[in-house]
Amino acid sequence: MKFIHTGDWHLGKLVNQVSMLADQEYILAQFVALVKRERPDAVLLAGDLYDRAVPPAEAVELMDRVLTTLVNDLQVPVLAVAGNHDGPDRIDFGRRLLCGRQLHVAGRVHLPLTPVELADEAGPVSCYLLPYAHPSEVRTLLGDEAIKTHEDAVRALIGTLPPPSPGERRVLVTHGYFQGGEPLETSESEKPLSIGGSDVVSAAALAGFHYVALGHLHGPQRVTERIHYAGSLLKYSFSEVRQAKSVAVVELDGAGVAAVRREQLAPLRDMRRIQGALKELLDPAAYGDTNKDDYLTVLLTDDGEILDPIGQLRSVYPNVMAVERLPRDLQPLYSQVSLGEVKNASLETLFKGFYEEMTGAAFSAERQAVVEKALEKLLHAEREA
Amino acid sequence: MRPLCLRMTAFGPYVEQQTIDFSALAGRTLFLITGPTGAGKTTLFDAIAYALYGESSGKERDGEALRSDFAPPELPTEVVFDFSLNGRQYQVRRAPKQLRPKLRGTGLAEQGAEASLYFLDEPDRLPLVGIREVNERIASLLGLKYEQFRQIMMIPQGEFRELLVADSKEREAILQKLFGTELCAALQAELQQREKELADVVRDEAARQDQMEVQLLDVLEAAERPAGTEARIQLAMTWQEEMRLALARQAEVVRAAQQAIGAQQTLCDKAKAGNEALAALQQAQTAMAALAEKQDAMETQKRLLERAEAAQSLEPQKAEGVSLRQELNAKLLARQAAEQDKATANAVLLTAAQALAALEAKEPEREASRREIARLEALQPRIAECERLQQEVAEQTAALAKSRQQAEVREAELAKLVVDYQALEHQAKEKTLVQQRLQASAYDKERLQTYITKLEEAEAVKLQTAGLGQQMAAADQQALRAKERRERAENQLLALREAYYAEAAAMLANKLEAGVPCPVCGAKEHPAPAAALPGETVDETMVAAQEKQVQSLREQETQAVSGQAAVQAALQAAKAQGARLSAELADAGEKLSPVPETAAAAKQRLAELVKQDQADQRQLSACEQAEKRLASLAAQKAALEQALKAAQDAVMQLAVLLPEKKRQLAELAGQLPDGTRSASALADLIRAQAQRLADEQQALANAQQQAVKAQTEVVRLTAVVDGLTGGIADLERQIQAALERFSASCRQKGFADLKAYKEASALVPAIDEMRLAVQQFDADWQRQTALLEECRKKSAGAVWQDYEALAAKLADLQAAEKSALAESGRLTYQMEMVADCLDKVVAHKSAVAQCLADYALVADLAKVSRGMGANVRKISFERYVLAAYFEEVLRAANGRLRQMTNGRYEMHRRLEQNKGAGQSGLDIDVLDNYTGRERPVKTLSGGESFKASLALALGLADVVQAHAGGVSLDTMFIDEGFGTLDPESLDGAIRCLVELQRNGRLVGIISHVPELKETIDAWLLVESARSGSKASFCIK
Repeated sequence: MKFIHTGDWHLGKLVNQVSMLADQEYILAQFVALVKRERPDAVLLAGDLYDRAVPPAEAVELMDRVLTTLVNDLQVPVLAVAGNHDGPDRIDFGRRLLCGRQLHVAGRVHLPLTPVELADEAGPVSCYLLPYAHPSEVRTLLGDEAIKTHEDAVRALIGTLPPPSPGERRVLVTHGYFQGGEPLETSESEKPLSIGGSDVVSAAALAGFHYVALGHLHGPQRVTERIHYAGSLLKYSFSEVRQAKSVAVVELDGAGVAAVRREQLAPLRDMRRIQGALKELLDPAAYGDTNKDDYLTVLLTDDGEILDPIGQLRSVYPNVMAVERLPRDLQPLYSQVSLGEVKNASLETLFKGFYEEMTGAAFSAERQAVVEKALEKLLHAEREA
Repeated sequence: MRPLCLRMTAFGPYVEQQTIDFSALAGRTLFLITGPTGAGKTTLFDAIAYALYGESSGKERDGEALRSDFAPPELPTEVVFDFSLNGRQYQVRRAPKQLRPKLRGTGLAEQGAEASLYFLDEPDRLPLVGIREVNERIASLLGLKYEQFRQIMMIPQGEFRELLVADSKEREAILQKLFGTELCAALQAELQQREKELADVVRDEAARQDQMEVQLLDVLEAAERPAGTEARIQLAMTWQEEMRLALARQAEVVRAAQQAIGAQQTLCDKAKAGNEALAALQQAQTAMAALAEKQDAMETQKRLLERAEAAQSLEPQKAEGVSLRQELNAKLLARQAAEQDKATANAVLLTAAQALAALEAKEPEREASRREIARLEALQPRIAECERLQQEVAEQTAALAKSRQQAEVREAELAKLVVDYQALEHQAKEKTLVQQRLQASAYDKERLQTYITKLEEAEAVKLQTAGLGQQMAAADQQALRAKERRERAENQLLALREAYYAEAAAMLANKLEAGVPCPVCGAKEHPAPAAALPGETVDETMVAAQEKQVQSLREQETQAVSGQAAVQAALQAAKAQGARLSAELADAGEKLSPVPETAAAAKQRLAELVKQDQADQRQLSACEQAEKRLASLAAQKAALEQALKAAQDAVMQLAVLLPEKKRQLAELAGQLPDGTRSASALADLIRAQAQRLADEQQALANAQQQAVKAQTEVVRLTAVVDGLTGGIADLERQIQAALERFSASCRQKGFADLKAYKEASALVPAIDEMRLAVQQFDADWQRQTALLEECRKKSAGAVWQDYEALAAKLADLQAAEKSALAESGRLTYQMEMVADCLDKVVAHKSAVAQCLADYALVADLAKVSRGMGANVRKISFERYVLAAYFEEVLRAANGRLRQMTNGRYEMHRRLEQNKGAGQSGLDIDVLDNYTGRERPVKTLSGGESFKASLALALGLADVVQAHAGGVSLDTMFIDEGFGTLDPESLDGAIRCLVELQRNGRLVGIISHVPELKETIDAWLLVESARSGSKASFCIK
């Protein structure tokens, strides 16, 4: 049985106020061509289909076109789950209507968890769809007050499945932050699943599946041999500049052994980081034959004043996304924190620095807990909007 | 955002539609809007701001008051703004709420505000309609909301200082959207919300605590009600102590009461026991007396009992006797019955024998019957044969009829077919006729056709001839005229020549002298020399010219003549052709009769022929079809004839066979007896006979059986009777013996005679009762005796006592004890309640303390995050984060400010907190390099603050774009402000602006300042008139 595993499409995302929709449309066309070549038995979409709970109309329309092409024209079933960026009820719409047409969506967790049954010559394969769910939701769903963390929630949900029958092959599609023994690469464009608490789930909770298709981390990587992150299709932040974006083509044989092969897709515009003095960068010799239309973040190494740097850069590189200057040796912004740190730190770290700076008192653990809880509530509210 | 075209109708001072096409700038990026005061310069910016956001450019003008008062009511106010953004082109249309004439009727109706957004590079895409949607889309496209737009892209008149002098809080609001720090604001709000919630919780908990304490005090029933948790707890505890003592005391009281009760109880018991014993004694004595009375009666009873027992022992014997007698009676009865039976059996036997004899006598009849049956059976096959024949006959008759019918049908069909066949044949014959007709018609058509063509040709030729005739006449005329001209010219030539000669002669004559020979004739005398003619001198050239003329005219004449000849020739030819054609026509027409006059008539004839042909053609095809059908019909006819023959054959065959069969049938029928024609009837008869025979035989057998049975019965019964008689004799003997035995036993037992015995035995049924009564009496007697003895013993020394008094006292004591216990219980209960309440209060106290602690924590965080409370620096969290960006903004602004002020001023973010209660973090101080000291920004003069504002706006634009490349701010509009600058500063400002537009940014300025008018060569001129203003580009 052959799957194509992808996810984290984030349709409608704005990166530095630039809409990525045109690039997403381009790469999705490549993806559809890949599906056409590979002829898989199913496409697995592991969450974060949109970037917001209420996505813009053009993003929804693009998704509609792509899914219609995959399901109607190419006759390939699509199995999709909602991620932490998606609005779960919106993804869940029409679930029972669409599954008759080979488009299986799961926005909220519905018990009992019924798998999508696929089959090849070696026998049936049960594909379970487990969308991202906050531990509080799982607590209410199962009526179990002991579920506090993401790990508890995942274990409890997987515990509701019946034990596998001999010879049954099982596949899981889900969204979250899972860790095996190997270190994982995270990026700036991933919204954290919880603040302060632990959002990491150990890979041991996913025992019993022959392949687990994960989404959430944007870098294509593997957690264990059977558990992989497909990664996003495009680079969505400058921390992903060095990643090679791809989708995973998974071949599951009769014994349940999964062979994973990565297929790279060529984006319309790459995301790169360049640096140098302004005059050098504007010189044709500098960019040579690289694509000037790429999304660039530019680090200007000049010392002195530059007026309207972005206007000048735009005349050569029309899609400049951000311009940075080398930190110059001026007095630090605050006694403990420098300018660059303010821009790049996470909100809870910033608050700690802020508190200590403003009151001169230490930022106790109880205060930290209150702030983290407030941030988590905001994060959750954004999703449920 | 680049403006492309602005169209305003009835907007502000502009009445008719003003179209401002920015492409007129042709690549210039700096333009000046100028015009007299009040002409409508700021209105242009208003229009752009209104088109994009639905608001005017400054705060002072209301969006809805934008409609031009100059405009007539039929002209609606509308602004259409085309702009390009990030390579795409858009068009925004907006109309404010306004009154316009009603579509039906008179008067004005209000039309609501409208907005729509068109995508110019996608003409198929539907426009976005609706104020909210359009505003949202534009805000997301530009990346700026209206307030930011005003600060960065459009610096309004008189309000440019806003961003500069805004305090931290206001600046925070402006910068928030630009740098995406909404999450910080949300965090602040969330913490505040939590604080509020916790405050409510604390309040609730405190109320609950108070409630609990009040409850506690109620339970305590305390006289004094202190306030404060501690005091109340203390009160409760002291009360608890008091209560404990009271309880202990009460317990003592209870114990004493219980003791007293115990003593009294024993007294009571003793008295009771004594009284009871005495009473028992009394009772026993009375009982004993009663029993004594009964004794005598009991004695008699005992004796009777003895007698009855004796009688009982004799019972079995008596019973034996009785049973024997019964048996005897039974046997007697049986014997009687048996004898009766025997008599009946004999009778039966007699009748059976008689019947049997009768039946046996009938034997010969039966034999006859048997013979009959055999005979009938022999007849059976013959009848079967007869029936078969009958059936055959019937079948054949039916077949014959059917065949005859079939033959008739076939004949009829055949006849019909023959008729059809003949008709078809007839039709087929016609075919040849039709074909002939067609051929003839073809010839005719051909001829007609040629005739028509010829006719047409002839007509054409006639026309031609006529034309040629005319031409001929013309040519003749021409030739004539040419000839005349030639002759005239020749005459002229002659005249000229003569004149010439005359002149020559005259000339020569002049030269004549007398005596000199004349050059012409040689004479020496000249009598009459030629004289010059009057008039013009004619010279050679004139003659030559005239000769040439004559020559040309001659040529013309020859031409005309030749032309004439040609025409004549043509005419001749045409005439010849005409004659030929008419000959041919006559030829063609002769075969046609009647000859048609005109081509039209001929054509009509032709059309008629064609029609006829078509009809004939149809008929021909019909004939052909008929031929085909003929062939099939022939086949059918043959088949039918054959069928007919076959049917007729069948009929004949059958007709032959049938009489033969009938004869056979008659023969057989004659052989059979009457009434036995059918096999089934015969079979029935046979069956009946056989049945009768069988019945009779059966009857015989039955009679035999009966006889035998009767015989055996008689024999049996005889035997029975004998047996019974023997038994009876036996029994009588036994009875006698038993009777004797019984008498002996009676005497033995003491009965004098049977009568006595009978009396005794009458009592036997009551034996058990009597025995029981006697026993009972004895037992009672013994018991009572013993009881009496006991009672005597017990009551030895007892005395009657007053039990009630003692009991009453006991009751009093018990009541007292109960009340004491109740009091004790109440006290205990109250103590428990108080303990319970106290526990709750104490427990809740710690909960309240916990709540307070939580609240304190969250309140602290909330206040600090908002820049209040423990936050010494008075910087809110959001401002803290924004400060980083603000630093960058100031840095970018300083670059330009330094330029504009020649290095004098720099802007810095104020690091100390503000004095007083105001929030801080984003305040600006200005460093004056002349003094080296910082001072607040409000201390700058008007012109200086304009420069600073400009620099700040440009710096902000730079940083916003560097941070989020998707926001593109490549246009800027500045409304006034330059008037406050001195010439040098103005230069600096202009240099700054020129620098801007060198990088491609479009800058539009409204100003009166003359230096600007000189420096900038692209103007947008606004003129005002009484009937509204006009704006147009004017490029120098």
